[in-house]
Amino acid sequence: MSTGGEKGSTTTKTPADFLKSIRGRPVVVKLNSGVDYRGILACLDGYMNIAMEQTEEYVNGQLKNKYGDAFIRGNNVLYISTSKRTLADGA
Amino acid sequence: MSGRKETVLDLAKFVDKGVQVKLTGGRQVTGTLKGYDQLLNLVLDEAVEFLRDADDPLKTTDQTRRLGLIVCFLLILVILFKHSQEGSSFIRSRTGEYVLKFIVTRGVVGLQMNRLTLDDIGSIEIKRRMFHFCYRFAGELL
Amino acid sequence: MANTNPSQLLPSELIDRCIGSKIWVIMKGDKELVGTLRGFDVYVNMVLEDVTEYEITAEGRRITKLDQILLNGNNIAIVSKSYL
Repeated sequence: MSTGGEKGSTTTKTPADFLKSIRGRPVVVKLNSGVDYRGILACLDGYMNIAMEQTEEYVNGQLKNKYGDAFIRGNNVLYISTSKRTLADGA
Repeated sequence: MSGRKETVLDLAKFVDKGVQVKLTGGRQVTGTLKGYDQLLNLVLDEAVEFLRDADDPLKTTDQTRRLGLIVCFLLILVILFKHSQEGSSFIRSRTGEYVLKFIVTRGVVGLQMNRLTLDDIGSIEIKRRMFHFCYRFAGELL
Repeated sequence: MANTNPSQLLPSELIDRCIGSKIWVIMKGDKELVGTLRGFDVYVNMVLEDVTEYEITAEGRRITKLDQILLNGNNIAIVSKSYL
């Protein structure tokens, strides 16, 4: 049993660090319901409440709506992702 | 010194023993208890999950998969140990909802928790009932 | 009086040891993620990198690749150090 990570670049990034680093950047926010919101992250807090700009709403991967500004209450958020993503279907 | 915080259930005597737990959402896992914290998150080694029924996530099947060394986050908890008595006992929260249920069937004492909040965990009544129950049914066990 | 038995492994200790390694996160529902753990907080919200998200549906597994995510700890059921 070793202590600490054995991988080369073990840079620790806490949730707080992550939240700081993504402000103003394009993000994908996935809700527990499976709905995705893509847009520019305007601001957010420790509850994962999120305000976004130029928001696009995707249901099952299909664009359903566009909002100028959107506010998402944190309890619905499954994850916040930096916006580089690909989709694939597997067996 | 000072603060060993009391937990609802003293899991110390189950460390290194086999337990079976049930998680919210219906997942069921067995393994060897290696550790736990005050929120009753558990470390289990050599854990095996019983896969859920595709139609009803609250049912499990005989199919299993190995998970290895894991941390479980849970709200419902079932602990198994040997006992011969049968019966059950309930605890209701102040609002009348049941939060804890003890089930004793042949050879098994189960403990179910539903919607247990931190407030409830702190409540004296729950502790009192829990200890009472553990002494009554599990006292002679280990 | 020490409150920790040395033979006992705290959940947070185990997760801390996983920082920098690939972990397998199983959610309450039919969702699982595999990724490199970068950090976590007291709510077990996690920062994960190079993430593969698996949604197990009736039609099969839907796979989504993600660069870096903050995963809400609320619906995490199981975290495993070893993946398969």
